[in-house]
Amino acid sequence: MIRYIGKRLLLMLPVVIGVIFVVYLIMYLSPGDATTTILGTSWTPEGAEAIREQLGLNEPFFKQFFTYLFHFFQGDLGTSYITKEAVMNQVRISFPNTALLVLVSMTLAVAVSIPIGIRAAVKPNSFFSAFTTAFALVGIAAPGFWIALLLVLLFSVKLGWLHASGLESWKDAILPSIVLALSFMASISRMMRSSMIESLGMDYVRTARAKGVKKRRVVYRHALGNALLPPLTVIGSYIGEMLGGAVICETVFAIPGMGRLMVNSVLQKDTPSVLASVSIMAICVAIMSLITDLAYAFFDPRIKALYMRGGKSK
Amino acid sequence: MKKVRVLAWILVLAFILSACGGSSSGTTAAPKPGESTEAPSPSGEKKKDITILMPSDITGFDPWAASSVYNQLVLWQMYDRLYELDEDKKPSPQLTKEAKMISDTEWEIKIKEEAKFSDNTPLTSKDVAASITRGIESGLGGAIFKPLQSCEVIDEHTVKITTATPYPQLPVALCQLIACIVPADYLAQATSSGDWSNPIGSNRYKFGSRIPGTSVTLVRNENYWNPADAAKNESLTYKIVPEASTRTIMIQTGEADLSSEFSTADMEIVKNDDKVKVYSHKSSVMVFMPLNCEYEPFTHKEVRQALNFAISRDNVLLVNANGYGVTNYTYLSPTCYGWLDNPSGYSYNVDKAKELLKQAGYEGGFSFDLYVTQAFTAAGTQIQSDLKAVGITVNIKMMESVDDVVKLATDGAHAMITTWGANPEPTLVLPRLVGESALGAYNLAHYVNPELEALWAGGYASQDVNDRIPYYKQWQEILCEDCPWVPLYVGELFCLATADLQGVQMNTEQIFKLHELHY
Repeated sequence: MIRYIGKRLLLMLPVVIGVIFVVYLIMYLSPGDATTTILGTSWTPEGAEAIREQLGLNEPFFKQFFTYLFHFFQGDLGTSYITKEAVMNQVRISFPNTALLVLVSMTLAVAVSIPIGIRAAVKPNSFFSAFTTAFALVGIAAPGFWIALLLVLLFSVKLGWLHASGLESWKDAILPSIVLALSFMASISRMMRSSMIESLGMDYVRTARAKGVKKRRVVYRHALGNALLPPLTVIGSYIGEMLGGAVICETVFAIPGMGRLMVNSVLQKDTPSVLASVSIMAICVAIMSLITDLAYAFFDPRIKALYMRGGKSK
Repeated sequence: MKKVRVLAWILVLAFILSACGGSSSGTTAAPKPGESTEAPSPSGEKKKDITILMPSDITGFDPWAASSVYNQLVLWQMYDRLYELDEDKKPSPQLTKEAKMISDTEWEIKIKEEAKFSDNTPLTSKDVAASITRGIESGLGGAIFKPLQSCEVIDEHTVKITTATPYPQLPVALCQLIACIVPADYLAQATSSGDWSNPIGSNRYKFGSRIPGTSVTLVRNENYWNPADAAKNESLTYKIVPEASTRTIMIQTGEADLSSEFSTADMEIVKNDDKVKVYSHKSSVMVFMPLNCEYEPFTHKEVRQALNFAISRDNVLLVNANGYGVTNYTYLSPTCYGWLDNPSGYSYNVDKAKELLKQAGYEGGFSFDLYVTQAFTAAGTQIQSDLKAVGITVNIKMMESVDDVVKLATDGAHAMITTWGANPEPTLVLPRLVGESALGAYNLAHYVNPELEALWAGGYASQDVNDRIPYYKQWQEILCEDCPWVPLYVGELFCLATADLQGVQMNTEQIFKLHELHY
C-alpha cells in the first residue's frame, strides 16, 4: 500500500510540471502583458520595455519556463509582477480560506446528501423521494451566484443574521459553504439514491431479506457498502469542480481565496501568481484523487487486495 | 403525519419566498449583523471608523508602482503632493506655498514650512527633490511626466523644477500618484529593498494595517501638519468586494459606509431604501470607438464619417449605462477646457450614412471586427445592430480587459470600444490619443494628421489657459471632420453611502476628500 501511495505521489510530479508548462505557454501566448496593468494610462513603448527588461519578460520562453520551474521546486513561487510581493505570501493568505471553504462545503454536501439519498431510495415512491428529486433538479439547474445573492438577501438584508461578505468568523463561512455545497449535494444525493435503489435490488440483498435480517441492517450493513462506491468516485472529482466553483463564491462573498487570486492574476497577466494558484490547485486535485482511490480500498476489499499485490491483477 | 410534513414544507417555502420578495417596505428593517458598524451606536456615540468598499485591491504602497484609481483612493490619503486635484480635476496647491516661473522652462516652488511627516520629521525640499527625481528617472510617469528634466534643491523649503520645453501643465503633472512626496531616507531604503510595508507620508492618514486581497486600514495622522483641516473620522478601512451587488447589500445592511462605485443596475433596489443614499457626479471618462485608419475601409474619411452618422449614441448610452450620462460627439469630455458640443453636426442619420458610404464606394457594405470588454457588450450589440442597417457587418470579439487595447491595436485590430479618463487639460489628452508620438501606444486609431501635429504646440503656447482654448477648439474641429473615432458618450459617476454618512464628495473621476467623511 505504501509503495502504491509513493508511486502515485511520484506520478504527481509530471502532472504538476505539465500543468505549469501549459499555463506558462497560455500566459506567454495571450495578448498583452503585465506592463499595461502596471503603467495604466501612462503606458508608453519605452516604459513598457523597461519593465519587461526588469521582469525578465524579454528572455526566451524556455529560459523563463525552466528558471521558474527550478525555483518552484525549491519552494520559491516567485514575486508578483503587480504587487511586488512574494507570491508565497499571497498563497499563505488565500489558500487557507479556499481550503476551509471547500472542506466545509464538501463535508456539508456529503453529510446531507448521503442520508437523503439513502432515505429516498428506501422509500422510492414517497413524497420525500419526489421532493429530493425536485431538490436535485433545482440544485443542479440554479446558478451558484443567483443562489448566493438570494441567500444574502434573506439572511443578511432581511433577517440580519449573517454578514454579506468576508470570512472573519465561523458564521461567515455558513452562506458560502451552503452555496458551494448545494449543487454537489443535489448531484450526490441523486447518485446515492439511484445507486442505493440498484443495490437494494441485488440478489444478495434479497437473500439477506429472505433470511429475516432486519430492514435497517440490510440497508446499512449489506447494501450501503456497495452503494457508496459510485458517489465516492464523483466526490473525488467534485473537489476539482468545487475549487472552480469557489471562484464564484469568493467573488460574491468577497473572500480572498485561491479562486479570486487566480482570476485577478489572469486579468492582470501576473504570471507568477497564476502559475502558483493553478499548480497548487492541481496538486490539491491530485491529492484528493489519491485519497478517493484509497477510500475505495476501504469500502471494496477487492480493490484493497489489488493494492496489496502492488497493483497487479490475478 | 404525512399531511403535517407537507404543510411544514409549504410553510418553509412560503417563508423563504416572502423573505426574498421585493417589497420596498421590507427593506426598512435592514438590521446590521456586526455591532461595530452601527451609525450612531446604541450608546448614542457616533461611529468614527469609516468602511469604504472598492472592487479591486491596491497593488501596494509604492506610489511609483501602479496608477490605478484604487491606488489613488488609498495612497492619496497618506501621501501629500505639491498639487492636488479639485472637484473638477483641476490642480490646486497642496504642499505648495508659492510657485513662480523663473523662465519658460524653470519653475521655483516654495513648500509649506509647517509640513511634516507622520513620524513627526519635517518635510523639506530634500524629500520633494528625491521623490520627484525618482518619478522622472523611473520613466513610469508616461507622457505627463516626460517633459520634466530635473528637480533640484534651492534651499530647505524651495525646489527648482526644470522642463525640457515650456510646460504650463506642470501643476497637473505634480498632482499624479507618481508625484507623491515620501521621506528621502525612507525612499532610498524602500527602493533598494522593495519593502514598502510600512509607508510614511505627510497627509491626514497614516498606515494602519493591510491584509492583501481583503482590506487596507489607514488611521488618522495625529501629527498632521494642518490640524485645522485634519480628518473628521478616526480611520478609513477599505474592504475589497469585487461583486457590485454584494457591495450594494453591504451598504444596505450597514456592514460598510460607502461604496466607491455603484452599479446603476441596482438603482431600483436602493431607490426606496431610506437607509442608503446614491450620490452622482458628472464624469470625465469618455467612452469611444477608435477606428483603425490603416484598415482598408477606414482609410476613407467618408466611411469614418458614415459610422458617426450611422450609430445612435442615445441608444448606446441607454443600453450600456441605463441612460445615465451624456452623448458625446467630440474628442474631449465636457469637463475639459475648450470642449465643443458637436462641431461637425453629427446626428443619428441613416440616409446620410448610406450616402457617405456610397461616395466612398462602399454602398454594398463591408465587415470589421469590433473588440469589446464585458462592460461594453451591450454597446457593441447596439452598434452591430445600427450598422447592419447601413449594410456593415460587425463581428463582435471579446477582450479580457481594457488593458489589452494597446496590444490589440498594435496587432491591427479594426475597432474597439474603450474609455479614457480625460484630464481637463486637452494637451494632456489628445496628443496622447491621436498624436504621432503615441503611435504604438494609446493612438489606437493609428491616426496621424500633419496639420494637427503642427498645432499641438499651441497647447504649450501660454501660461494662461484662456489663450490656449482656441487651439483646443481647433483640434476638436479638425478631429471631428476627420473622425478617427466614433465618440459615444460620457457616463455619470455614482457612489452609494449609508444615509447618515456626512461629507461624501465626488470629483469627475471618483470619490474624494475622504477625510471629510463622518457621522
